[in-house]
Amino acid sequence: MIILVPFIPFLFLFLMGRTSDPSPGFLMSKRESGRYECGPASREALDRDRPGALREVGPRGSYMEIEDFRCRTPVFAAGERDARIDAQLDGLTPQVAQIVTAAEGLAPGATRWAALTQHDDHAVAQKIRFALEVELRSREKRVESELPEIPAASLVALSQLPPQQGYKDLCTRLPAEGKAWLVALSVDRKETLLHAGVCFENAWTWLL
Amino acid sequence: MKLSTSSRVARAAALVSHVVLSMAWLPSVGQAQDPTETQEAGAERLRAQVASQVQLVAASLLDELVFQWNEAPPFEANTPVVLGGLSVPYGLGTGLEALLENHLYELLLRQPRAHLKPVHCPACTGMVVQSKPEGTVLARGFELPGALARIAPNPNVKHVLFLDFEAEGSNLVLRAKLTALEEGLPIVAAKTVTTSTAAPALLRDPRNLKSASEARREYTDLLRGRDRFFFPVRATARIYASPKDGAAPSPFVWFDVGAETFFTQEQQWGGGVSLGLTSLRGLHEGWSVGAHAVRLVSGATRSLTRPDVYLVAGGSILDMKGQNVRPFLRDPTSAAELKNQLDGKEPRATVATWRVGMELRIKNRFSAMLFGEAVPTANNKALGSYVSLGPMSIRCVGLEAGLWF
Repeated sequence: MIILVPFIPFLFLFLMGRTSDPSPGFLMSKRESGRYECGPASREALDRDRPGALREVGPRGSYMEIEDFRCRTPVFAAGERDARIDAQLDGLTPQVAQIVTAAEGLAPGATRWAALTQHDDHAVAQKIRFALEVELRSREKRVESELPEIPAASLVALSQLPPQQGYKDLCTRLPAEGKAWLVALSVDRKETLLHAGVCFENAWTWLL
Repeated sequence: MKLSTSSRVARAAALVSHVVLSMAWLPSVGQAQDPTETQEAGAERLRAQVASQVQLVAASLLDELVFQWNEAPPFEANTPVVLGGLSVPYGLGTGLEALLENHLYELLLRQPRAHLKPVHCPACTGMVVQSKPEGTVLARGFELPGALARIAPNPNVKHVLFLDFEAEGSNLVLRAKLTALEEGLPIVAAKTVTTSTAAPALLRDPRNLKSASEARREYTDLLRGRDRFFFPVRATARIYASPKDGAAPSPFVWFDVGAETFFTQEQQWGGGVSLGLTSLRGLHEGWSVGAHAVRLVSGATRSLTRPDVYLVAGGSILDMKGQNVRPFLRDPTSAAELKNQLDGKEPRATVATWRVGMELRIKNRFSAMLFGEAVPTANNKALGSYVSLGPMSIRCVGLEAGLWF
């Protein structure tokens, strides 16, 4: 028995090594485990995230089947931000790309583009508009940041109308001259997906 | 009314518990807090925690952005640029904005190849009121370039830079746009840079920016430079405690060779094995085999520049013979030992030991350790004890110096 004594530290180390496994179990509670976002990942992505951490597979392959799996923690854990805004911002890049792709086809003749947003939180509205502008510019569009000058009274009047009518009316008041206005809006406080429409040559079209 | 003994005891107990509970409650009256305030304070702490975690990654994104502009400058010549706005992820505060602004200015000043010269323009970022026959417009200076040119003409300032950081799941995204201060406010350049929270911040030197792939390669090389296996050579002095009434045991000097490896990339956890020899002509000779585990306690990751402190725990088996080994005999008066003595054979002992120690390691090359060792099979009459840790008596203190290869 005494000969086994030196191996006890290795058993202890083996157990501690299991702490890097994010699955719930002996060393990690379900709650702790729930903080991770896990999924399959390419070796390139893993190597980018953790350079040098991956063991290289030899020319004859590996003795066992290895699945590359990546676990990451979100910047903001669930509950740290307003759930609806968190959902909208978490998916901002793909949503914006989707909106711009859809909009491109609807205003092929547009020589200039501008983005507008409507959201009950001003900071979020600014972020969505920023993302739309950058996405449009990255697709080689001429993008202008200038906001349309619409009298406050008109805006108040437009906001009283249902969205279907309000944005059509707004579109007639926006400057045209080859400029396409891409509008992203959060209509309902219960919705996390953004709606979007394009105003081109004073004609309004809903995208999403 | 007459009370029975049990009811008197019950009343007394109730009175005492009432007093105790009242006393326990009293201090909390002064500390009573509005639950909303407590929640707000908690949220503020959480925001500070997230901001401190985000800061390095955000700074790394700025490095990458300026590096990309170095490689492909948005302007052909050095161009004055006003920072129109820098917004941080929704939910984080302005302290982070200030830190990132400073980092951006440092980068732009140290990287003239980006052709962006940061300039100060209070009128550009301040509020401007413009009255026209159609109405009055209230906006920031850079949103009304015509009015700005009349209020604070500055022919040098023609472009405004805007940056927006946002947390999207486990990614931190930086969007940047450069707007020309002319009619329509056209965006002349825009970029998006993304990194993941799983990726460590690259901490590039602002004076010598490198591409992300170059910086990662350097990082990888550095990590690979940390060998997976180390081979230490150690000299160990073991000094045993004297028994209450008896001669002090002789100290032993051992020479060990070993192999050690680490189980985590940060080299927090490791373990190793060692083989040792000891010899003092005519007095003792012996060999040992041991294994130990180490845990870094001076930080989250092993430093390449500063000394590291490890907690060491392990065990050894020592096999020794010679006159100095007598204190390690389990029962020196046993028939077998007496027979050995009569036959002129040297005493021989095999003992198991446990050790706990602190080791200082410097730059993968030198180490020094102070440890305490228990000898569970020792004879209490022949070997004293320095300190008792529960069932374990530390009978030996040791000093170890190592050279690592």
